[in-house]
Amino acid sequence: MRGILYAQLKLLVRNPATFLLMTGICILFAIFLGNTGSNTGYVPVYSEMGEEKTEQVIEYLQETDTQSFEQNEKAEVVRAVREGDAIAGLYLYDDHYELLVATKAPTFPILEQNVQKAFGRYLQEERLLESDKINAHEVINQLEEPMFIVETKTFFGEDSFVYDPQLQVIFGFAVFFVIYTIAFNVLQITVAREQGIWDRFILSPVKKWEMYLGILSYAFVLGYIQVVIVFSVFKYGFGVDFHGGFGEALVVLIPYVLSIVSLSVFIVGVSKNIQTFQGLISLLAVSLAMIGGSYWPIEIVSNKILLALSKIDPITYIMEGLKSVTVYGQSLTEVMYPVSILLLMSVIMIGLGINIMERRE
Amino acid sequence: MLEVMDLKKKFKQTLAVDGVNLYLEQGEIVGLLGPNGAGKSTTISMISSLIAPTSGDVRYFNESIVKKPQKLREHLGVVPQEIALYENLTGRENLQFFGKIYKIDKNQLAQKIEEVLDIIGLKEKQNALVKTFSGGMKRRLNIGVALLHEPTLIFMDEPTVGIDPQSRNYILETVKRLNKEKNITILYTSHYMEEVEYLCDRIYIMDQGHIIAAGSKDEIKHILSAEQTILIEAEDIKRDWIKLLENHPSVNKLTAQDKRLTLLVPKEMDFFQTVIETANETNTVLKSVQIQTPTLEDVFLHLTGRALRD
Repeated sequence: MRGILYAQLKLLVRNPATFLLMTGICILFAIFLGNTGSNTGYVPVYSEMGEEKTEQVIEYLQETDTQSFEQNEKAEVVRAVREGDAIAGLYLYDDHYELLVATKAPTFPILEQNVQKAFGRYLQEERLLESDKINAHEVINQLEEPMFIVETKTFFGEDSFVYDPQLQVIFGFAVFFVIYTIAFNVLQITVAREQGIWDRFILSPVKKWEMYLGILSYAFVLGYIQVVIVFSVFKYGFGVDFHGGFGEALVVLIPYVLSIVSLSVFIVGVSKNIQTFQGLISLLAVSLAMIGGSYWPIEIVSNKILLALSKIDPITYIMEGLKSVTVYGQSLTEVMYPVSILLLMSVIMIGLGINIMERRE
Repeated sequence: MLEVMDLKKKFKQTLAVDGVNLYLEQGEIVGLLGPNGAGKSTTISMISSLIAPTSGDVRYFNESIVKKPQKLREHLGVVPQEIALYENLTGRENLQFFGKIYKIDKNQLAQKIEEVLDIIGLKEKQNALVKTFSGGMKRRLNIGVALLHEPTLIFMDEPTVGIDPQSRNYILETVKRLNKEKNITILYTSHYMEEVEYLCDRIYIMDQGHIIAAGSKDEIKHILSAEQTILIEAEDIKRDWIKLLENHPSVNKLTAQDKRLTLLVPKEMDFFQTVIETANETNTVLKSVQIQTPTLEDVFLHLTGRALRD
């Protein structure tokens, strides 16, 4: 097995371009789509309320932490929305609000939810203050410091969820691009077979499990290193907040990387040659990313078929796991469900893949 | 040393190898000769335990290797038809890699690599990437890898395909030297008659999955002892003339290629007169007529009705 690892490492040192390119592209995509302050977060606000009331609503809006709200003239709001500088514009009136939209971005439902929540809170307080039957200020204070908090966290429902656009993009692209890195290393099994190198392995004293383990463990380590590099670049290079769950995120990644190694083994098994494998993996990686919530949060998907398909997609579970330990601040024991599913997928796919390969041999 | 008994291999509906019997004695070079698609590589793969036969047995020192191939594998070196090397590693790195695969001790491996590089004549190029090697150099390294663990038995599957004559000669000399100096038993497959004729003590001729002839070079040539080969060169080979010769009762085989005709006719017969007469009849201008003793190529032609490289 060490011999196989030796050759793989030598080959990487001699030709690191593919690995570096995949890592680089992943980082670039995440930078451009998650960190440029484009229209994903900016919402200009025009208000016909009084200054104090407007400030109050904007303060509540800012607490949502996912968009930045800024008071502006009406013309500026219209211009920003028309030219795509803002996801939407917000008009505030004394008893209602309006949202001005050019095209509905994937994150629009989140904005809508946040505005509704903030404005509802403002109206509730207003009504209380207007009431002379109770001590309004006392009630408001009690509302701000409730006896207990009911939180709803879900990935598949339509209830509220915490959305961190930067982490969504970083996680999404990291778990998507690593599929290619892993798959093309697992493909070395087919390459070795087609070049006759596999026959030399079979005739040598190396055991078959050592042959598989050599190639697969290398693919695993390389894939894992790639994601660690991407996460580290954003955490330490760009100062992205992992909400204190950086270490946990790296742990949660392990079963995912394993499941992608297994998936690649399965694809190698069912592919007749290198060309078939390349076609299949490209198609599959993009589909998995779309269905599993790499490109956009799965929480905004409402199509029942897509949601059903997402249940057999490893990306769904890794995104759930990663978000759980970062934005939701959960511990590792609380993400045992997605981790277990990923491990189960790993076992099933690697078993099937190796079995098919051996039968073909 | 090695005995192959009634070996068969069926791939779906195709019977690629059909009842092959052969044996190898220690220290000999045995040739397995046949055209492309004859079943040579499949036979080699089965004998080397890479694929399981559909039926039949392979015995190494009287022990079947079909279910327990370890004993054979320890002593076997295989030179595959493909260039089974890492193109992005150097020659030396390839040897190091396959040495590790063969679990050769680190200190011993360095010495083995030097020896192998000497044998295959790649000492000067050992640190160049394989992808920069010529076809001949790659073939030599392909052989070198099979020598690392000091096998006593080597299967070479068309080791000279697609290389220049100089490299080919080098490889043939190397094979001969390995056999003589190290007493390595070699099973050599090829569709180049002259290679097998030069190297091998005994020859098996294979066609369409069958062994169609076996024996020493002389024994095989003896198949045609009652015949002679007539080589004719003409300015233009006319169809009428070929028909006339083909229909002649004494012509056992006839092949035409460009401006040359090869005829197999009974030895005692004086066929010169017939050649000249038929040429005159069809206005064919003859350039030369030669009579020669049969070659292995003639034997193959006689047995299969086809030339080896068809």
